[in-house]
Amino acid sequence: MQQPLTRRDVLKSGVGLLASASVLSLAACGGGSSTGASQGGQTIRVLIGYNSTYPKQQQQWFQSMTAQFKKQTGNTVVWQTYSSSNEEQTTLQTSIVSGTGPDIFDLGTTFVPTAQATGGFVTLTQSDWNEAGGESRFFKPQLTMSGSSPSQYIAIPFVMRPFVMVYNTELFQKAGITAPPTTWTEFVQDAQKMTDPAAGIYGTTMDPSDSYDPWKIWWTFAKQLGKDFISSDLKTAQLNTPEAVQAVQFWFDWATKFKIVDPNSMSWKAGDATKAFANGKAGMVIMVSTSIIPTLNNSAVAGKYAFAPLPNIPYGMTQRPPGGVPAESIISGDMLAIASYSKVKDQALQFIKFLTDVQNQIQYQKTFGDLPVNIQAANQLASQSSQIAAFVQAEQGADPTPFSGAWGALEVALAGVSSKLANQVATNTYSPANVKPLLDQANAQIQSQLH
Amino acid sequence: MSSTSTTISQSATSRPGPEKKHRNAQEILPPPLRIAVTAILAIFILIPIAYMILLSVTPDTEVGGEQLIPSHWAFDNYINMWTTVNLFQGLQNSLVVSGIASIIAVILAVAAAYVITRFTFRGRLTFLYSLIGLQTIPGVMLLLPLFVVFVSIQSALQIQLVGTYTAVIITYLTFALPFAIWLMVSYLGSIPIDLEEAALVDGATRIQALWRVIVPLALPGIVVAIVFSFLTGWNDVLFASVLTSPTTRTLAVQLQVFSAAQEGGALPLYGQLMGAAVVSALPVVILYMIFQRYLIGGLTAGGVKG
Amino acid sequence: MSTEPIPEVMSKVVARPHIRHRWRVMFHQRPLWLMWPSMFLLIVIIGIPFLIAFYISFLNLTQYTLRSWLHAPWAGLTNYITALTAGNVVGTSALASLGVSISFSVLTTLLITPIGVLAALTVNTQYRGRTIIRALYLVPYVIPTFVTALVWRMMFLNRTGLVDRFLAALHLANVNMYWLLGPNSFWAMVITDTWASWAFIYIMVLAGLQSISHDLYEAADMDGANAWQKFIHVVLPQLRHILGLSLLLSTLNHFNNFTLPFVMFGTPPPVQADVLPLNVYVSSFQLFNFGLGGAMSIITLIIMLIPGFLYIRTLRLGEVKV
Repeated sequence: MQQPLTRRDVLKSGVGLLASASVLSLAACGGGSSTGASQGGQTIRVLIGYNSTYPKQQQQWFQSMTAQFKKQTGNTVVWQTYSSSNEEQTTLQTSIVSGTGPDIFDLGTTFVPTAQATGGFVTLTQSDWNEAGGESRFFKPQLTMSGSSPSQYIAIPFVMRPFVMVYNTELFQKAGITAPPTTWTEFVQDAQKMTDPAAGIYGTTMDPSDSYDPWKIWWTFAKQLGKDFISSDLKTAQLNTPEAVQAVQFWFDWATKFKIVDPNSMSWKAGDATKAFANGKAGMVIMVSTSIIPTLNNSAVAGKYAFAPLPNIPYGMTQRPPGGVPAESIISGDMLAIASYSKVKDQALQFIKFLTDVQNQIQYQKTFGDLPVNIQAANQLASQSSQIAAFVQAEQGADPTPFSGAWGALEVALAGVSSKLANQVATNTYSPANVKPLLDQANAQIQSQLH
Repeated sequence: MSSTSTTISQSATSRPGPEKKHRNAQEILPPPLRIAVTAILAIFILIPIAYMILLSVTPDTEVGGEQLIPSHWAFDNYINMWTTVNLFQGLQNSLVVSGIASIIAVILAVAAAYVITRFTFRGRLTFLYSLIGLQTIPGVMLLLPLFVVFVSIQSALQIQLVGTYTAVIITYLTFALPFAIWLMVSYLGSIPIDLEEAALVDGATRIQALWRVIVPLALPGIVVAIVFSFLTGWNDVLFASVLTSPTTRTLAVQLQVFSAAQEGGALPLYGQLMGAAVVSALPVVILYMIFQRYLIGGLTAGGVKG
Repeated sequence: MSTEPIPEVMSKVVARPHIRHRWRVMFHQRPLWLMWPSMFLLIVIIGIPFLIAFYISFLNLTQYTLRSWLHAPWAGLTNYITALTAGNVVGTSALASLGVSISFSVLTTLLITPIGVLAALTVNTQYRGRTIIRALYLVPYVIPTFVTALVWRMMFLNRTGLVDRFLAALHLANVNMYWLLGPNSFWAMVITDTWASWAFIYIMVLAGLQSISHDLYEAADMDGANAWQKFIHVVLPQLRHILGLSLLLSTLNHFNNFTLPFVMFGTPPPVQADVLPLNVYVSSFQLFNFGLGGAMSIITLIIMLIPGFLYIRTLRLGEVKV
């Protein structure tokens, strides 16, 4: 056959050239991760959560930390942010599976077990800890979430964020309540005193459609009753023990029996509960941390709120049953872990030491509100402010969640239970007897992940 | 088909009929009905949009609250949103990425559709069917494997893909292909072959025939394909979140920042989110308004007579 | 749209010998290379990842084995069996999710089709302000999905949302009606997606309307047809192909819509709105069980392909030879 169309060949090669040229030029000049040109220095990539409450301050903090560290050591820091824990999880998964990605991961404390289960992070040796500033400078309780055992630590504490209760001082006054409740019985009574459905004001809030709060609340109740969600040898799931069932039932009693929450709150997430409080429609909200302060200061309840630790004696009792612990908060905050594939481990440790020294920790608290893990810094701040002292105290009474690789799955499973129960309450099909079957299902699912 | 229309048009033009008939013949809906439907649709569209704009100037604590009208106007949302994230850069990145991806996708789709509709080859139907199959694959399933593929190519060819424009453009372009190809197949299929034949007889090359005869007639289809391909990339969050770096972050991913609530009770930045959403919807609407005149025309522009 | 097979064209050409040579040349030199870029991209970017995902569905790939995924333990059909049978405490089993997804996508498509067609008809004739209306119609479609989902979530909040307030003002329903939980959540999803996506049908039909020759309308006019008859006998037959395609693609798009329920309800969603993409996401990404997520996706794929293929064959959408 003839090949008459030379123009076609020209066109073909022209298109081919154009295509490859554009691909190459895009690859070359497409904006993107700098392959850091620091002379004589390494580049450390850090993955950290985006702070949408203080975005400008965070940008400034990034620049300031990078500049100072560069001056000190000649190494460059590149920051990468995630906007939600889902995004963090996805980034972690893609990094682990492909063996490339950020060098330092900022992980929430309850996410550390799952991260450790992947085996993708450096186990810290004694000399590693010394490079990072020494184990002794860190707030002891935080270290319980650093790894599955002291010889298997992978994460270094960065900031603390204990969970406490916030209450409306004005509503307290109106109802004649003089001090925040210390037992759950008092809590319910106080809430009932403040509830005024006609005015749309309720004693407290519930957010059963939230992805995180329900499990934390149930865990707190269960721990105070004496049982954890996973056995201490990490081999048995305990999501359907009588204590767990009681915990869940007690929480939903707030809506169905005691009626101390807004009946429309079954579809609420944490933000909706905050909004209700910020508009003066709720007397108390539990499971909040320092990140709520900027919101409240810009709202109708500015100047009319205060913090207190969570009550620590179960409902209907005068003291905790044997085995029960105060568990006023989960060990909570952020930790820094170094990926195994990282080629700049020593520089990363240097940077972590830099981030966790006294000055930077105090600076961080003043800018963002999260508490320091550096003991010296924490004590210094506690002596200056009673609000901070309250938070530090709460973290001292905090309890670690079981260090199991299935904990992430457990959170999701319990969120599912909460959503289903909320669904029932919303459609008036709820009964306390429905709790156990759902917990049995969750238990079976988590048990299959434990080994 | 062409012979029938020839006869009819001949008889039409041979009558000294009123020219008005040309304009009204195409009208299916009588004016009152048309106006009623348009009005209902407009209201249906505008209410949520008006609500969205209202939310963009409402303080975050009052969003979804008791009163519809906020206690004070939060116009500073429109100022703050540009600095909370680097919104301008996100806008640029999205425009570049979606723009390039959609244009390349449509060029490739027209080329492929041309072959499919004008020639036979083994596996033609299989190919078409497999395109539908590809449309059914849920994106979440491909996320990790695609990342692995990109990283493998990166290390094999020693080039940087992830984190540059390249990876996202290639991804969006490919995701838009199945639909674009089907659309162009459908559209090109309705363009009779006589016209190309005529052009080829006149000595044009196949490519010239494609470019000068078919493309102008297929413009409505091409415009639609560009719009949809553009939107494939514009609204995607999942793939952009892993394939972009902080400097190449697209608008869709940045919007996530506004909607994320901090653990421990801080509110999502609803007001800024709505404001940024208004900003993110504008470019596409403007582009569409510019290109929509190409959406009319095609065969009614007088290609098929005789 | 004619479906004359090539032999018939050939016979016409035979009658004109001077172009027979050209035609034969054209016929034998099919520019198949025009398809190579598309095929290459589709294979590398979708095909290969798909095969990898397919392989993963037979593995026990969890957070413990993610790091060296190629060597993850073989699970055979376990994931598939779990997907089809086990109730997920987080949501429902894959089959139940499939049911929700199918009803959601079919129902939404059925709702948006008349709206889209009507809208296209209203702008097909020239009048003042048409440009703005045409652009306005597109707006819901171009707003990012998750923003739409958020706005409608606000609107569906009970008691304070616009929907409840509106219905209560009309005395049609209790102001405290739950839309985001319970059986109504399904309808909340349908309404929102209808609002967001009818423009898809609108644009497709609008483009299709452009290929209808003016003569056909005139011919019908001369035969004394009224508006309805013109619609049935002139417009619909010409639109058959593009409308058929739109319905299929719309159904598939709605089926795979992950963002809308994810943002509207969060994870986990109420069981009545637990569509398959969300279920897959929770199973694979949040629970770190990628093998199970892969199996669920493959099952979805197979179940959707069968009606999809039958649909294409019946409407003969694949036969577009000119």
